[in-house]
Amino acid sequence: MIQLFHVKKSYPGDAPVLDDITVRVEKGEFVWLTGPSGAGKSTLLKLLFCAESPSSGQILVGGRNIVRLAQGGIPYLRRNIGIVFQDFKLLDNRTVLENVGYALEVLGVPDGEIRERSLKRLEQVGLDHKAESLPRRLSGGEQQRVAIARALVNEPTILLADEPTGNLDPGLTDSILQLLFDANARGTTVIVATHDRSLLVRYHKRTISLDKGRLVSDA
Amino acid sequence: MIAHVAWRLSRRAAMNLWRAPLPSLVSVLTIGLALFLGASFVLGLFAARALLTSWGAQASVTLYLDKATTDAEARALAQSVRAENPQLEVAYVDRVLALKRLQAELGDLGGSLDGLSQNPLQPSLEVTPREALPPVAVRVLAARLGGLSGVQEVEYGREWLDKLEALGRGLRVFGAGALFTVLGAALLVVANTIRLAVYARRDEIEIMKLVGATDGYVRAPFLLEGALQGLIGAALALGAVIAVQQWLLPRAAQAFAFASGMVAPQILPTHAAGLLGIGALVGLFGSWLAVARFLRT
Repeated sequence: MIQLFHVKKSYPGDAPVLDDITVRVEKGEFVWLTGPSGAGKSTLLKLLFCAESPSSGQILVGGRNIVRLAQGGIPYLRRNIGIVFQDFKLLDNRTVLENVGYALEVLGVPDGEIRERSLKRLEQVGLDHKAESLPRRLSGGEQQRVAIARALVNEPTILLADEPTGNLDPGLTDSILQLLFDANARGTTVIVATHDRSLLVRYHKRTISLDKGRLVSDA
Repeated sequence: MIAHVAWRLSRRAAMNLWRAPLPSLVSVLTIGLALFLGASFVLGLFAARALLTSWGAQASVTLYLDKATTDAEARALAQSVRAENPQLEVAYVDRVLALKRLQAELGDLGGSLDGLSQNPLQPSLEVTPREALPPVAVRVLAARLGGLSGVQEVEYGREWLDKLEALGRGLRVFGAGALFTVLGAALLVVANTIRLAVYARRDEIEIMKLVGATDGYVRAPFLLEGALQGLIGAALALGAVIAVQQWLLPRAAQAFAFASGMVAPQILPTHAAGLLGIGALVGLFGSWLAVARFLRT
């Protein structure tokens, strides 16, 4: 599903952010991507949805080399990847329903179907009753659930989450992670970047560890 | 599918305008002010040109005839010029009338002419255009009439016309340069104003791109908004220009004697459509420039 071959990412004058990373993630896997701050976790995720391009090496997603992807092909790659961020990235002036439906709008899905599918996702994350609310009226945990619903609404094959529980109270962490496990159980390949080692202890999954841009373990 | 997406993008553009009225208002007013200044400048140039033309028309052409020309021959020539040039007023000034005028112009000294044994003045035809003619046309007319049989000399205020022509040329050069500068500055101001409005929505652009929107899909609502803002701004500018034309120019013409020949240029539907079109294009182009920067990052 996802393969990285000797991937390196560096900026002029700085030490490499990622150095010689070779990793393979199978379809339907759940993978923790961990390491201290500055280890290169976020950069690796950004490479996967083409927000950054590698300095060298090759990256295959779904059998396609995305390093050679033309600029015009990036939106079509991203339609197969759901992305969840630590800071939610919701639009404050759109309702919860509109935020979730955004990912379907760009695909040209008819309005009725957008509403139906968005409500279904909101129901899965337990927020269908807040569909017409604005995000700022929601708690942090609820906003992250909306972001997850948006990431999953077009049924992507891959879900990338960058510190999805980083801004939340510990009590909310489990419920958010459960949504990611649920998505994985439905067949979505999930990669979650986190520096919270307690999560890795509580939920035993394959763990890729980075430190100073290098792969230190994969177990 | 295309109509469906187009409708959705149009709706989104309208909704964005509605949800962020202040940046939209600033853009509309900036475009309106820039176009008003530009359009007023162009109208001012047209009005000044019309004024110059009217001054040129006041310079009549005098055809001095041979002294030997009889009254009958002179009147026949005047009639012939009238018949061939209905746009001209032709007055015959015989030698006696010419002498009387000279005496009147000399005032107290006029009596000195009484002692002349014979009238030294020539009969003449005074030719005046009924409608305003540009200086070049007056010059051509004088050359044509000067070639008529019996005409000995032509006088048409050549120096005056030369100065008018030089003034007209200067006005054209200055006008083109100043207009270019005004419109260039206006476009920069408009592009920057729209850029600020787009910058306020950079999060939206980022999210649209993250969920897989193509550059065209991201750009389209902003372009529609820009065009709509430009159109509204142009409509405001058009209203202001018409108000100036209807209210201010007639009062200016009354207040200043030199501007008495000034005629407010007529604003035709094509001019109005042109201004609205320019407004829409300015808004569209400004948005394009502003969004392109965010799509690159």
